[in-house]
Parts: sequence; C-alpha cells; structure tokens
Amino acid sequence: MEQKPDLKRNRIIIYACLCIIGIAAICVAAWGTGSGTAAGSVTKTPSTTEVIIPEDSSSSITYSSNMQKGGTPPGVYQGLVIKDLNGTFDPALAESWDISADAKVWTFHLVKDASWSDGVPFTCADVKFTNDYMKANNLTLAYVLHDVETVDCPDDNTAVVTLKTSYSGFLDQISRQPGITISPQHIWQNITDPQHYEDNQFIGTGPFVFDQDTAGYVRLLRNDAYYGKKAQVTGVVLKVITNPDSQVLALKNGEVDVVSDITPAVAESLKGEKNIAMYTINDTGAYEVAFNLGQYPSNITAFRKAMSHAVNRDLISSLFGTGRPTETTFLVPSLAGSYVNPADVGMYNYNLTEAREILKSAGFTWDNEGTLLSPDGKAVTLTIPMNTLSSDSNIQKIVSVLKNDWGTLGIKVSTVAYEDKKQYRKAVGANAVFIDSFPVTLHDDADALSDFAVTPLQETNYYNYNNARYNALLDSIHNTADQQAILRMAYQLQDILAEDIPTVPICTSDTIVAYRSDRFTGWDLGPGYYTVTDPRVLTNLTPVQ
Amino acid sequence: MTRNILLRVSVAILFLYFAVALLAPFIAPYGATAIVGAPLQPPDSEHLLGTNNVGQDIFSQLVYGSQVTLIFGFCSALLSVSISTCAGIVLGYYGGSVDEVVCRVLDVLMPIPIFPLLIVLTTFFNPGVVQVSIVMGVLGSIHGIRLIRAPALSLAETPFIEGAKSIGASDLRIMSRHILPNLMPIVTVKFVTASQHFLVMGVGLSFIGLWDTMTVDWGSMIQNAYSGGALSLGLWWWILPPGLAVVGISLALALAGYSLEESFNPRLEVNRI
Amino acid sequence: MIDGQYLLRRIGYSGAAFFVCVSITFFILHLMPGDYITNYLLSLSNTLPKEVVAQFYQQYGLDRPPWEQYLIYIYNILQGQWGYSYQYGLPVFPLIMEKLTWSLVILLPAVLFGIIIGIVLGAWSGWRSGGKKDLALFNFMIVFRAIPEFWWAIMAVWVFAFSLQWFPLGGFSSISVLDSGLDPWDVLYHAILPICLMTSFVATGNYYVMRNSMIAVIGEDYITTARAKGLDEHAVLWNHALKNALLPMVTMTTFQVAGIIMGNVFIETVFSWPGIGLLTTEALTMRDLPLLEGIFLLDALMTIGAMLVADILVSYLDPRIRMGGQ
Repeated sequence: MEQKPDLKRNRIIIYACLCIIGIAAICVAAWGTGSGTAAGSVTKTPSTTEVIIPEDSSSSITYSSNMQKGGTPPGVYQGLVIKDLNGTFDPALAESWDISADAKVWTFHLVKDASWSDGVPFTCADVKFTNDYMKANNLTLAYVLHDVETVDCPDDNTAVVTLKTSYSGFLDQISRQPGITISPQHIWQNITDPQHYEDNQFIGTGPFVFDQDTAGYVRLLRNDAYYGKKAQVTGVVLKVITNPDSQVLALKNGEVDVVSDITPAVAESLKGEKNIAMYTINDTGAYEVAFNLGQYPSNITAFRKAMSHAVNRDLISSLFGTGRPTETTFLVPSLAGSYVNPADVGMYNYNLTEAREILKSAGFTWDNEGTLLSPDGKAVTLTIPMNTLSSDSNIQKIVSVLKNDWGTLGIKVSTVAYEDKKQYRKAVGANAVFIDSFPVTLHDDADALSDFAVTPLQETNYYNYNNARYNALLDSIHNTADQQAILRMAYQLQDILAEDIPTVPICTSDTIVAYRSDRFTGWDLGPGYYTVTDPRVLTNLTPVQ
Repeated sequence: MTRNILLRVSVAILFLYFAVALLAPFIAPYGATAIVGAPLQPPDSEHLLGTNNVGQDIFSQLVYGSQVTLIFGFCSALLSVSISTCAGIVLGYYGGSVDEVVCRVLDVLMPIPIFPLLIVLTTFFNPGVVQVSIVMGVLGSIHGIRLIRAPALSLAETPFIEGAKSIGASDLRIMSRHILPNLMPIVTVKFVTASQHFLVMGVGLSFIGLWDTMTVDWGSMIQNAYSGGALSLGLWWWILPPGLAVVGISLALALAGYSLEESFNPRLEVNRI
Repeated sequence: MIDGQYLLRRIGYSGAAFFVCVSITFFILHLMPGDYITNYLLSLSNTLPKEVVAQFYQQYGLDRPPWEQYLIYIYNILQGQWGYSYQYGLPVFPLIMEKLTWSLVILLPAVLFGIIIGIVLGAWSGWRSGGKKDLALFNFMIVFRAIPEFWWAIMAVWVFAFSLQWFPLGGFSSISVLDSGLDPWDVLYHAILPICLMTSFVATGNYYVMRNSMIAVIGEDYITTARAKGLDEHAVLWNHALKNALLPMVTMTTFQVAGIIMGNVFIETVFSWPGIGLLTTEALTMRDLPLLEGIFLLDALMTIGAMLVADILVSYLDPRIRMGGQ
C-alpha cells in the first residue's frame, strides 16, 4: 500500500550513492594522474641545495630528546670529541685535551666561540650541567658517565673531568655509540620531568639545526652561526622509505641523493647508470664464530682448535660479496692498525684434514656412518642459536657454510631461532657455539679486548672465558695512559687469545653507498665507520655546479 | 556440473601439492639450505629456477618450502576446527548455564585483536612452525565455536535427538553418532576455508619476518627476495615462484571450499572465520 | 523504540567486557618473555654495572610485583593516563593517534567504499543468483580473494610503481610538504594504490557474505509469496529482500570499521606507509609495553563499542532478536 513512495525514496538514495561513488572515483583518478606528473617533475629537478637521504624506518626519525636516549637528529648535538680512524679522536666541542699520567684526570680545552643555535654562548657550565643533570635525574644514558666523579670548571673554556678510577678508554666511552652529547643548561635547567619531556626545538651546537618533522620527512637546516667548518648544503632532508628496493629506485628517479648499504648485486646493476656513482666503506661490520667455553664440547681446547681450521672464511666472504677474511684473533686490521699483533695473523687457515687430525689426536672418533663421537663415545651435535631480529642474511650464509663443512666432519649442526634478545642470550649461554656479528667500532683498539675479560664490572662474558693473566693485563691497560705500554700489553692479550681460541674470526663486511653524482660530491671520506648521516660527511658535501 | 569439475580440479591440485611435499627429498635436486652455486644465477639446466642471494637452489627451496607451509596451514586448521567442533557440539547439546558462561567468555575474548595477540603469544615459544600453528589454531577456534554451536543447538532440540535420548543413549553417543554426522558438511567446509585462511596467514607472518628466518618456507622466500632487491633487479625467478605457489594452493583451497559448500547446501554461510 | 533497561544492561556488560579484556592483555603482555630494558641495554653495552640495571628497572616501575603494576595501570587508565612509551619517552596516546591518522587515510575510505561496493555487488549477484553474470562475478571474486593481500600489494608496487612509475613507491607525501605544507591531493596520490587494493579486498569479503545472505532471503517464504502475488520484482527487492539481507551485514560491517584501528601491517610494509600496524609490530619487538597496552586498549574500546552499536542497531532493525532475549 505505502510501498510506492518508499520504493522511490530507496531507489533515489541508492542512485545518489552510486553517483557520488562514481564521481569520487573519477575525481580520484583525474587528480591521481594530474598531481602525478606534477609531483614527478618536482622531484626530478630538485631546485634547492638540500641533500635528501632515505631512512629505513619511521622510528629512526622519531626523536625524543638528547638527554633521555640520545635519539636526536644528526649533526645537531655534539660531544666533546668524535672518534676518528685508527683509534685517534677528532676534536668537537673540545679543541684539545690533556690526560694525567694515571688516566684519572682529563682536562678538556673547549672551543671558544661556540654557541647554542638560539644564540646563547656555550661554556663549560653546560658540560658540568650535562653530567650533573643526567645523574641527578637517573637518565638512561647516565651510565656512560658512571666512571665520572666530578666535572669542574676553572674557567668558561676549560672542563676538568675527574674519574673514580683510572680509565684510559674514557674518550672512547664518551664518543662511541651511544656516547654523550652536551645539552644546553639554559633549556634543561627548567625541565623537571626529563624522562617524559618532548623536545621539539632541539637546541644544539652542531653544524645543523632542526627545522621540522612532517609526514615522514625531517628537515635540518644549515647552522649559519656554526663555529667550525660550515656546511655547503643548505639543509638535510631525511625521508622514510622502508623498502631497500624502493630506496634504490628513488635514487634512480632522483628522489633521493644517496642510498647506503646496498647489496653487491644491486651495486652491480647500478654500474653504468648515468649520474650514479658508488663507493665502498671498508670493514663496517665483522663476524666471528664464538665458543661458549662453559658448554660441551667447546670446553675442550682441542675441539676449538680443530674448528678454527674448519671455517671456510674465503667462501663466506665471497658469498657476502663484500668484505674480506679477518686473519687476526679479534681486532679488525684496517681499523685497529698498529694494535694488531702481526704474530697472530693467519693462524686459522681453512683445512678440514688438519681439523680431522686434531680431533683424532684429542681422542675423537667416527662411527660407521661418519658421525663424530667424542672421547667418551657420544655423538657430537651442535645447535646454533640465532636471533630472528638481528639475523641479517650474512649470518644465514655463515651458518649454511658451517653446516656443510662441519657436516663433512661428522657434526650435525642445527639452528634454533629466538625472537627475543633475552631468550637468545640465554640460549647463547646454554649452547656451545654461536655466531657473533658486531660493528667494527667495537673492535678497533685495545679497550675492545675487554670483551674477553672478567672484571668487577663484568662478572662474566659471553664466551664464559676467564683467564687470570688476561684479566690482570687488561686491568693494567685501563690504568695507564702510556700508549707504548698499552700497545705492548695489547699484543700479549692477543697472544693469549690465539692460544685459547674463545672465538674464530671470520671476515668483515663492507658498506656500499650509491649517490647521485649530478647532485653532490664529497661523500667518500675514506675507509672507516662513517655513515652518510655523519656530520663530518654532511659538512663535507659540495653541490654540483 | 561446473562446480563438480572445479571441485575435482582443485582436489587434484591439492594432491599435487601434497605429493610434492611428501616426496620433496626425491624431487628436489639439492638440499633446502645447501649452498650449491654462485649467488643470484639465472635459471639454467643445473638450477631450474636459478639461485638466491646465498647461492641456494630456488627450485629445491620451493619444493622443501611446501612442507612447512602445508604443515602449518593444515595443522592449525585441523586444530582450530576440532576445538570449535567439540566445543560447539558440547555447548549446543547441553546448553544451559555452561553454554551461557562460555558464550560470555567468548564475547569477552572477541575484542582482543587476533593478529597482534598471535604475535605476542608466539614469543612465548621459540618461533617454530609447530608452536605457531598450535597458537594459531587455538586462537582461530574462538570464532568457529559459535558457528558450530548454532546448528548443534537446533539439532539438539529436534525430535530425532529427543528420541535417541528417550531410548537411553548416552550423551557421548548422541553427540558423536547423531549430532556430529549431521554437522559434517559444515565442519568440512569450515576446515577447507580455515586451511586456506591459515595457510595464507602463515605465509604472511613469515613474510613480515615474525618467525625463524632460517626456516625455508614460501613466506620467508618471498621476504628474502623482496628485501634482497629482486624487484629493482628484475629477478623474477627469485620472487615469483614462491608467490605463485602460494597463490596456487590458496586458489585450489578456496575453490574447493566454495564448491563443497554449494554441493552440501547452497545456503550455507561459513565464510566468517 | 529501544528498551532502556536492555540498553543499560548491554552497556554494563560492555564495561565488564572491557575490564576483563584489558586485564587479560595486561597480564599476557607482562608475561611475555624478554623486556625492553634488557633489549635496550644489550644494544648499548655488555658491561653495565648491576646497580645501573637495577635503577632502570625501578625507573620504569618494573621492579614491583605484577599485581602492583596492574593496580597502578588500572588506576592510571581510569584517570585517562595512558603512560609513556619506553622507546620514545613520549605520551602513548598522541603517539598512537599520529600513526593512526595515517593508517586511517588508507583504511577509512577503503573500508567505506569496500562495504558499499561489496553490498551493492553482493545484493545484485544474490538477486540474480544462478545467472551467467552472477557466476562470472562470483568466480572472479573468489579468485581475487584467494590471492593473499601482500602478494597483490607486491605485484601492484612492482607493476605500477617500479615498472610503469605511475604511482610513487611509498611514503605519505612528496617532498613539497616541507615548504608548502600538506597537500591533500598529493597525499591522495600517494595513497591511491593502497586504497584501491584495500577497497577491493574489503569489497570481496562483503560481496560474498551479502550474496549468501541475499540468496538465503530469496528462499524465504515471504519473498516467494510476494513474488507469487505478482508484485513488481523491484518492489520485492527493495522492500523485502534487501532490508532483510542487510541484517547480517550490520554486525559484520561495524566490526570491520572497528577493526581498522589495528591497521594493516602487510599493506603498510609493502607501501612504505608507517602507520599503526607497523607501530604495533615495532612496539612488540621492542617490548614497549605501555605503547602496546595503549594500542590494545584502544582496540578493545573500539571493538566493544562496535559490538554495542551493532547490537543496538540490530535490535532496532529487528525487534525479534531483542524479544528472544539473546
């Protein structure tokens, strides 16, 4: 009865909806193609002298504050020194420094004309404030300054740091990741809840100042009032591109100016590409087969010795496509330089027959099927724990090679993966062998050898390695500022390691960087651990034309 | 007619996949993780689908990968459907306060987001195929219980069941001999659609790298290729085979599910997992 | 129309469900192996003094027994305090909202269009069920849906962004945002590919349910009667069939709308669109408990709200359900 009007109304509504959807779809399509060409033309001919750098994840450009975690935009904050190649340090906010003979009192001579980006001059008071404030508020990074007793300011341009105990590696500690950057007293003294303070101005002393953070971009501008070498680029834009493939294509399109950490295969494909140049930063990462001496069979020295001849380092590094086998016990030669003891180079040659001989003479036997049996008759099996989060494909390559080689020795190798670092660490403690990967910055000087020590601060190490002579030597290294003595003792430490084999070094890996040669030059600062967002790289860039 | 043909074709495809998974050691020319050549070689007679960035044979990985992916999909589906069938029948048959309480509990559990919860729960175990498929099966059953409970409830009230009760048949007997067979069509369809759903979900989880990256399965193969530069390098033989393998079995399962559903009852509605 | 007492009972029940849901997620999250501090400290150094570690635990309140943490947590959320993220040190709520906004740019239009398209096509297909066109559409939809969404996404990026370069490779906006602010059309241009993909995906799911529901309704006696009475086909479709067939869709679509709060981690991964889905997985791997709790809390709120709305809507549309007491 009353169906007719109802029907009409319904019909009209439906038709109206369909029309709206249709119109919307057409609009979307039209605008899509329209703005597409516009956007394309904008990105293809960048008119500014800003350098655009891709970032892997949005969390890496979500900054909180420099006090809390050190999560700050690159080039905005500075520490006292920056670590350079070969164990030396570049000046930053400290022009020069003196060390007392017992490595306990460090006097830093600060730069004179530095100022914060809001115009307030930088003085020693800021250095003292940073130390005192971090400790008073129990901030996360305060642990880095754990060894610091006091910071005193005899005058505005001198900071005297007194340590609780002698520590020759102090500069290394405050400059390498995460390090300590100096924060402005005039900003932070008014902040009562630094844990939860959201910094949105980032007042620093560095060559760049924070500009804005919008929609997956962060822009830094050149600090024109910077006291040191001023940048030639007017700004730095960080752009989130999560997929490495997309980063490469963005480079080809000219949407970004540089892509770091590309795979060798991609590097190969970029060769001959117009306006794209590449360079390699040697030895940025290193890998080792590490033993847990607390676990069977790694507690048998002969077993470790045999295995040190069963790691095909040439094959592994050829699978990596970059990098080279590491011939020393622990330190990476290209960075540690003279710290490497030449007597310990080349000890772990790959030779399965030799490995077999060593095993045989230590009482190992093989059953009919070729399975390796320990002296007490048990089959030798190994489980290698892996961390799913940090397991880059290089670790997979290593494990695959080990599985093959150790399989021919009669050892069954399996893997078990852990998503969580804590569980992974636990598994490392419960298994005989693990694969360790590390940034080489941690393996570049004598202080790095403390990884194998047992000290009051470090009651155990991952290798479960505890050698009294080793510990004593390391202690004396920390207590002296005499470089010659440090070098001599570092050699002795490496001799001990070569004898005990808590670890077998495998190889290093390189980082390949591709950049637009028609936009900026000056990326390549030589070998070492410079990343493309290192302030020294950014200030070295020159726009082309 | 066409439905019937579709069903047969999809079952044949499924058999093919199972045969490959079972006979993997005989079909695959190399081991799944063995390094057998230079990295990133294009397909040739030695490596049917080329090699990946580690120098492993992609064809062998594809064949071995079927094992993990299939085990994962079907185990979690089996578990999920078994739980929801048992619980659904019991709840539907007894009804009353137990039914009421369980339904309320399910109501409370429903708002918890399944996907992140799944990831959270997998952290309690080593991320392994079996553990994750168990967690997935249990979680997935929550939504299925209601689906089975409703028809079980109406079945329990039919004169046929009342009659069985009156001649003194035990509850267990009634549930297993009378109610379950009547529910078999819906359970079968649910199983097939759940397998498809879980299989794709498992590949997806593996694709976003949430479990053991050393496990060779199609998801991690896609992930490897995707993050290793297969797209920008144009290495189709690296990324396409695992993807197409997933598409193939997913299609076969979906078609089998819909065909079964129609042949049992054109009005059946089981898509909501 | 709506019974006040029913409404009151329903709301009270939702409150209880919310409380239970929040409690369960709290304990599951806190029982998770591993914790943020261990992960974070391991990434810094292997040689941290014990008292430093203990101090961190105390700072984050993780040294207290779980039940005490739980009481503090409940007290805080009742006060509207969602806490601070461990990894960012920022308040949780604004952090979630920022990412959620970006996710909604894709998901809101996708879900709305998906629901409308799905329902319209499904209704049409169901009404014409058995016909050639219906079968063609039906089979197309099955095939489309059977292909995993991340595979569609990878293929779409490969074809449209890598090869044809019609669309950007990802990200929210082009770089002009830094000088001229956010341009909605530019954002739309960046979002159009994922929106289209998600729309098709949502649409196929709704299509299937709507078609089934329509087929079921057509088989009902009253439709047969209406048709037998010689009523106009369209009149039967609009006034009887459609209205009844839409009923099961109400619950489903409200859940879909609520579900967009979790984002879609596959789409976000492939399209470089860092939204709430990626935030969740990242918070999970970092063990950022306050952030996770915030996300789960928001989701529970949305889902329970959606259930409430769906129940009220359905009982409004179909009074029989309320009378039945279910």
